[in-house]
Amino acid sequence: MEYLQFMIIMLFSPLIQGVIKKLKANMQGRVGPGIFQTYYDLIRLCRKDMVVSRVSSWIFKATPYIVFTSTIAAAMIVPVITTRSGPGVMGDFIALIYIFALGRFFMALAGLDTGTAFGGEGSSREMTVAVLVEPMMMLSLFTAAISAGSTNVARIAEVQNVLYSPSHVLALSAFMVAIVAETGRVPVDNPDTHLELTMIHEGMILEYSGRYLALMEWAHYMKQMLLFTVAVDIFFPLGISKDMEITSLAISSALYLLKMFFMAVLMATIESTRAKVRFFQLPALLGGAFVLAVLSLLTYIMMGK
Amino acid sequence: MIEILLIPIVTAAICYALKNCKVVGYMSLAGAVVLTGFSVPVILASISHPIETLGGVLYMDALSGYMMALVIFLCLVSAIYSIGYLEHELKVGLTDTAGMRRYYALLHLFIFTMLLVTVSNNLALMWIAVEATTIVSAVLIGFGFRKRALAVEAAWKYIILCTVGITFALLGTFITYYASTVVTGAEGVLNWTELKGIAGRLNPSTMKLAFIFVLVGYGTKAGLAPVHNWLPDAHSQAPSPISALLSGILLNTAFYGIMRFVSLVEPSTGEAFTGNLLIVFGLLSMGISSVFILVQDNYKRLLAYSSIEHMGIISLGTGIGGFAGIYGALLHILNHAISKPLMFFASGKIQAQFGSTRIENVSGVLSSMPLLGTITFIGAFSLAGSPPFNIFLSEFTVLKAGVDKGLWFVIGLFLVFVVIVFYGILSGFGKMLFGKATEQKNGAAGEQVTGGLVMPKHQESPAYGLPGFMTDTIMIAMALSVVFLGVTVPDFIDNTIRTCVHVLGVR
Amino acid sequence: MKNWIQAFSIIDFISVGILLTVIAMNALKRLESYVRAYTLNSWLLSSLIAIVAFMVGETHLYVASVTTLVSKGIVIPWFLRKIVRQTKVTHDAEPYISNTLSLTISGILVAVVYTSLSQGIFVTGFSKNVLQISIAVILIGLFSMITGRKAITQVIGLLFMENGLFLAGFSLTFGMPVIIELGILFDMLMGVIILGIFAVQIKRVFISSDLDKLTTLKG
Repeated sequence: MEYLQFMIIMLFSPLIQGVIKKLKANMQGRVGPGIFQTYYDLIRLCRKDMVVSRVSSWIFKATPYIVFTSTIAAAMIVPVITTRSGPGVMGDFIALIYIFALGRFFMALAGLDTGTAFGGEGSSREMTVAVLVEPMMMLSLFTAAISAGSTNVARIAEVQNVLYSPSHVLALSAFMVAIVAETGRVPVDNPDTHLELTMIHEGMILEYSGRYLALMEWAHYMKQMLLFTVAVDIFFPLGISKDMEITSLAISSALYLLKMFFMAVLMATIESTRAKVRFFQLPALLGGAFVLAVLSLLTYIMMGK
Repeated sequence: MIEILLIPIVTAAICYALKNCKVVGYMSLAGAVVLTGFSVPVILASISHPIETLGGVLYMDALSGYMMALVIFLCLVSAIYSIGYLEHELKVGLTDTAGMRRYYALLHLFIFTMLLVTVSNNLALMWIAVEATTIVSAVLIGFGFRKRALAVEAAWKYIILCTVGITFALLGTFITYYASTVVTGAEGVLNWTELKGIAGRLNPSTMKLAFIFVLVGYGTKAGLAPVHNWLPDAHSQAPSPISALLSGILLNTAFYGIMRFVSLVEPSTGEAFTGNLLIVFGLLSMGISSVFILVQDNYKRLLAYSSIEHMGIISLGTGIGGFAGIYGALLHILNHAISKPLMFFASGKIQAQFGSTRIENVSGVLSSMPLLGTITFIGAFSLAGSPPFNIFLSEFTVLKAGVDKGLWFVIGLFLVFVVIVFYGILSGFGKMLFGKATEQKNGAAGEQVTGGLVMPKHQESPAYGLPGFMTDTIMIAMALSVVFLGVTVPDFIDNTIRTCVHVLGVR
Repeated sequence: MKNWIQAFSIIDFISVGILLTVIAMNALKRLESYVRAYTLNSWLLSSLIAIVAFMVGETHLYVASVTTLVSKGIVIPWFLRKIVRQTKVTHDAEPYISNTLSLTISGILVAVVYTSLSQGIFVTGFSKNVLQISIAVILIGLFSMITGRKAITQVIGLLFMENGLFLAGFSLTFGMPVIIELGILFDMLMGVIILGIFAVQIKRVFISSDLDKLTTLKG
């Protein structure tokens, strides 16, 4: 049963996105859409016709499925409410990062496939960001892994309760910047805009419509919730259950909801209080966060905690 | 001893409070004379028997007394020269009454800080005093900055480079303190006297690290290459009496700090470590300065590079070690402290007369101003290291020490550099001294202009009358002592230096 | 209370915070931000001293902490802000090395310090980490002095160096006699004041606060 945890991610990710949107709207003084609006959007998209460019190849048609299934595969790796793993299903976070990279690779190709300028621009920008973000994610997670003695997310979550030492705080800050970059939020990318100069993720999926667009968007929400879950598992795994008892599962779920809500609030705050950084200044911002990640590793090596 | 420290502060306060610009100079001179009077008996007493006051914080032994004597001598001489110099500046319009009061006050404050360096027993207090000299002298170097842009540049470089340098020296001091806590177990000691007692038991590698930091730190202040870059700018842009003080004694007090540290570090690490480092720095200083002396076109900068060279010789002497080496270094400190201020005073007069510090704009000093020309002649030859002048004697002592120890390569380089410097200084000053007198360029272009700031034109020759007479007298006296000390070292100086060498721990 | 501090390794946090504020200087562009980074650094420094004073129980360390707070945390930043406003320079735009590169070099410097001092000469309990961090602060302060273009940037780099030095001395010696500390602080204060005056003069005389203009004296 424990390997059905990914269903939680699959079902609740649009809700998380809706909550973030609502919070953002409230902070900006608007009423905003309801929190279930994302579900309605997905259903609406599934019922619409699809328009596919004539010059695109099989990559364009295959990518939504590849991205969606790879994200589900990634969701199977991460423990959500229990760390008890069946026959070796829960895995490394290195594998996780590479699964994300697979999805990103195909998305970039699909953006190029349609032959539009926006797609190409989105793909090249996404790759630039990825080059800077992936090492940062790996380094910050390595710091936690070294102190826990394993790169398996479930094992890390089991070992520590509350991680509270300088190296972990630094790693957490670097990882938060990585989350912001990967989920395409301000200040790295603006998820609400379709202006050509400011799109990264939106640029790559601009040509999609109908069912394909629904799949891509859902995969994006799932990736977002996954990253939140990874952050929570590795840095605040307090209360996660280690077995399949009903009581511990219940406590674990409640705590999980609370942590997700907290992450949503954090994301909304970051988005509402920051301005989007010009693309040419992104390497500086991400480079700074990379230095943070390096520092966290160095601090752990030096201080031993 | 406390009175000796208080007198300059009182003089500074009085000079700042006086409103009459004519009297300020003489007031400062009176203060210098009083200081001399008070200090002579104390110095003489300290040479034979060390004095300690303020619970061991202040301590005066032969070495302190020797340096203090040099400081006070230069204070007296500079005070006399300043009167004439500042009157000239006032007439020319480069300063005003408020500036003059500030100058004299800062001058005596500067003297106070240097005296504090020589008598402090506590290493941290010594550091505080050295930093204080940096700050006060920086303001003095930038004197008249409203009219002279280059002075601002020079003062900025000076204060930034020296403060960074002595920051490292403080780190070295802290490391020394840490080493002493390891030995004594509880409270560490920072007093030089107590540290000297436990010097043999300190951890060698810790002390090596401390010494490197201190050498780099105080070496920056002392003008050792490669951290000497502030020196040519600062010493050439400062007013002449301040340049005399900076070159003549400030560099030496910084080196005094290094010498004290050497005597602390040697018992545990052995002579080779400190000696080699000092020799390397010394040769580097001599080499770099000799190259730059050859290409100079500004005679005040030439004198500044010559200071670097002589500090290199002092470092070399200390590094070679042994009785003769340190004796030579200490004697060289004395000789340099007489010759260099003499030259700076002379160059100040030349600058006032000819309106420029570039060598090509000055010629025929000997024919137009015979007295000044002769004095410059004597000073230039003495700085170049030729007999029968005093610097030659001390250089020869250092040379002999090196030969005794068999350091042939070092001695070879030393001689090469000395020869290059000899040529450089004499060719530079020779161009100025000989030849036909250029017309007194009273309306000449003067200094380089920068940033749209045009220098006021220098006017008629400097003052005659009492300040001129006094200045001429002391310059003649200094020139005569240059010659005298070149022939023989009087007994009381010889005994003092011998005692100083013993104080530093060399038998 | 002592166990609480120990368990939550507050001392380590504060020292890492000190390191972060120095590195942050490489990422900032506005001069007022530099002053703010320095203020935060000084506050963290004085709180570290206060906490160690509490753990070790020496009263003279409290005095050191308060004087550091007042002089470096309040007086000097106020003075620096005045100077920045007087020279009317707001940005250290186009430094010699771009921000990203200097951030990278700072990271490399930290790594170098950590590795070279790991089998250190000094092994005294908590001080080992603090000593490494203080040497890193000194080096990064020196680095920002070298690559800064405005006069004020050099002054702030110098101040960071002095903070690092103070921290190093503190970790080595657990504080010197109060008089010595006061003397050193007073010296530094005077130095900063003189530097500030000269920085204003540079702007007046050379029209620009760019240190590139200070190259007339050569050779």
